[in-house]
Amino acid sequence: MTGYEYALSPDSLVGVLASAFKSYVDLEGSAGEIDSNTYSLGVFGQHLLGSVKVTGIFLASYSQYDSERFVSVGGISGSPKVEYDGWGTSTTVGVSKLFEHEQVKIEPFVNANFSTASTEDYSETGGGVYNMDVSSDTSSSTSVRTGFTLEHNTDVSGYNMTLKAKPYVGYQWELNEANNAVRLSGSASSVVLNGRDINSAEVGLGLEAAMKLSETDSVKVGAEYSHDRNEDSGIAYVGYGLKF
Amino acid sequence: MYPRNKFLSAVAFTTLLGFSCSALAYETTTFNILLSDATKTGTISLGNGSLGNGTASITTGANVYNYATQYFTPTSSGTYVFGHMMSPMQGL
Repeated sequence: MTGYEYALSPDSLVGVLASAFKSYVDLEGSAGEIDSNTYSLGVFGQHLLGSVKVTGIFLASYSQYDSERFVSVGGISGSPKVEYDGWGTSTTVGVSKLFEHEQVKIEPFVNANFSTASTEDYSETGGGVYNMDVSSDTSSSTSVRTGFTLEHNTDVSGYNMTLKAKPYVGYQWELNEANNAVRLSGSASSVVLNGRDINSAEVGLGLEAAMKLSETDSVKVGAEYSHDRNEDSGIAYVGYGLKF
Repeated sequence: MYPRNKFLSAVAFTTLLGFSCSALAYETTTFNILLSDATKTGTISLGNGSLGNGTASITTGANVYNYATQYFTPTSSGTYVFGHMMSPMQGL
């Protein structure tokens, strides 16, 4: 991920970002695998109103999926394969307010997100009787999240270091459920597969340590973990920032 | 008070590494059997001396097989898989 931001004034900035993300999914029981590449472009903005910060970010993404399923029923095996594309958007707005007490800062926040995801229709090949035709599909969801960021500044070997902890809770609502129509390629009838119910509460925790190397250079490392009724996920990151 | 922008521009490079673990590989669908006589057992008589996965058609005859059926009405769309691991009966 890389980004560039530009200060319009001491209180306002706008920016652009780009990211490339590769994922590998292995289904349970050696049932198959899905590899994907996702490329995203985004714009963001931030405005300070005294101790209140308003942020907004919009992301558009394009994904390439490469899927293979391993099926074996009654001694007849097949490995249907397919490559298909998908698109997505994500819009987030957030508000936070900063409270300071000596070296400790606490910043309660609330943000809201709206996301869409689409995949094109596709037909599997190479799997004999198990090849399936899958319709195109679009799903969407919205979520709210609230929590606070606890920040502590300290000096380590003469460098200014910032430690952050960000616990939060949230809830996600499904607006338009995923409902692909699926049929075996040799069959005239299809069945609609609804996606799993993603309405869910979530809890999460983010941790970050940032070190200011100079007035212009900084590095940071961090990790975030979240849990809802369907999924546990975690992400770790390292970053380098340069101001000029 | 938030620190105000002192520099005109900034760039950042970040590398991410993540994992995700689904608690459920598939949605668990709960359904209710709506009929009180949903389960039935009985016998059928077929012409075939044994059952296999060949192409021979099944015809009526003197060979008697036990059967068991389970009737259900799904209350939500999805994929349902039925089967049994072992049984004194042949599944039809």
